[in-house]
Amino acid sequence: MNDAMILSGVSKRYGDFQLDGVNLRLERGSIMGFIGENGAGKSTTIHAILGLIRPDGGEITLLGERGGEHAQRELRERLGVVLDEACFPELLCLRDVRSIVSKLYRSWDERRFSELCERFALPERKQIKEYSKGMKTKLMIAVALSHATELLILDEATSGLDPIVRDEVLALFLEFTADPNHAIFMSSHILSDLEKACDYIAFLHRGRLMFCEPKDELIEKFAVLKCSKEEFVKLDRSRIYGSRENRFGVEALVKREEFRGSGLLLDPASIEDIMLYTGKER
Amino acid sequence: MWGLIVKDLKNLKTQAKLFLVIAAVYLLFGIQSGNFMMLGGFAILLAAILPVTALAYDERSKWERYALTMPVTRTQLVLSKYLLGLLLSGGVTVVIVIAQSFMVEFKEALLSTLMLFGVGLFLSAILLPITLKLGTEKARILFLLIFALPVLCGFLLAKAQLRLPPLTISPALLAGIGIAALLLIYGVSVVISVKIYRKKEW
Repeated sequence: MNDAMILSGVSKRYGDFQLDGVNLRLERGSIMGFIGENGAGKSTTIHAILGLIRPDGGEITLLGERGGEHAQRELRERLGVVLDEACFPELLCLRDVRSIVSKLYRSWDERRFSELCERFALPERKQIKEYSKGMKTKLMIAVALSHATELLILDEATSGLDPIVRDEVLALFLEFTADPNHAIFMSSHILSDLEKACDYIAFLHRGRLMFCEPKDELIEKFAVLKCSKEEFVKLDRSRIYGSRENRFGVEALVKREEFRGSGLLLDPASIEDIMLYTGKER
Repeated sequence: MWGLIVKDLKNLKTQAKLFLVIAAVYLLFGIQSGNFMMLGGFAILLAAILPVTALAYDERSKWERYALTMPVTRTQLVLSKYLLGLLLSGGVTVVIVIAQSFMVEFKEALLSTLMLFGVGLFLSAILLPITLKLGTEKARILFLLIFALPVLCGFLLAKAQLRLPPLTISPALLAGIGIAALLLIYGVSVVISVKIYRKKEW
């Protein structure tokens, strides 16, 4: 089994929000960035993957075994998780955390944990409630990487971190996926991080998966076309994936090959461009 | 599972200070009156209620959802709270029995303390499923009502100890029925809690 994670048709309805049959496939050895606006359903998807919510339909396979609510103990030993909004009880300190988590994971690696805590400069005796958001995240990352983790799942893990630590953490992730057995699935709003680290980008918009493609192909495929308003009206609208008017004319997201040789100005599209334009139009 | 209980014990450590102060007051009162049952009642009820406090802490730090991503099942998470209650109230019971046996005959000390222990278990059997269902915030209001009950019971028990009303059935049988009922209630409570918790979503 070379797939770290397969989602097929995962759906969940909450009032007027619906996660609409999400299909995803993450190969081992790669990092997938999971993007989307607030309320797009990213956390819902991640919570379904982890079994914190029960999807209305669909199948979740993690590391070749049934995931989600069906995930067994052995499978959970192999998952590393960093949640957006959860942590250790506030009154504990690092030493307490160590003694607790080492009892919960059979595969606990004490040396690795100490090493990471040192690397992150986490204070030994400070209570968790005095930790900053970044420190809490670092602590969870340290825990997530200190057992037999093969699949790392992160919900907004890098958002609370300063640029220097973020860079450090991204380096750690790249180190982690150097092992061809490992994989990372991470949601983030910091698209530059994803652009740096990810092999694949999955874009969720209003509960629907808009695309899930290799990052390089995506950037290769799309381009930002710049032209005047007059030029823009003459264009074939079915080839425009999203557009934005400004003082100087119109910028539009297009497929590079469809406009090659058109004489119009094509700028490289970033992940942010692709997300903004496609999210806006549909 | 042991890890979960260790977590709760460490978490409750700061509360322990406050309880020790209150216990000291009751202790002095006990020495003065020659009866530790007030202290016993307080301590055992406390031990039975602390699992709920532990749940409140978990809720505040959003620990549960995190714990459930670890090799921890929902059933284990629920059971750990019951076990914590048994452990704490069991431990306190032993201490009280020993203290009280200096004052009265051992058998009497044991029986009266066990009765309080039973009340504590009964209380936690009621409180835990409610807390798991409603969350500590909403459950707290209900507790105020439920709390009045054991305090009343405690007083009645303390009174009854002095002069037991004439029984039509043997005390042994009564105790047997009481224990059986308690075990049944406790068991049902565990089952209900596990069921409630399995349905919970985050």
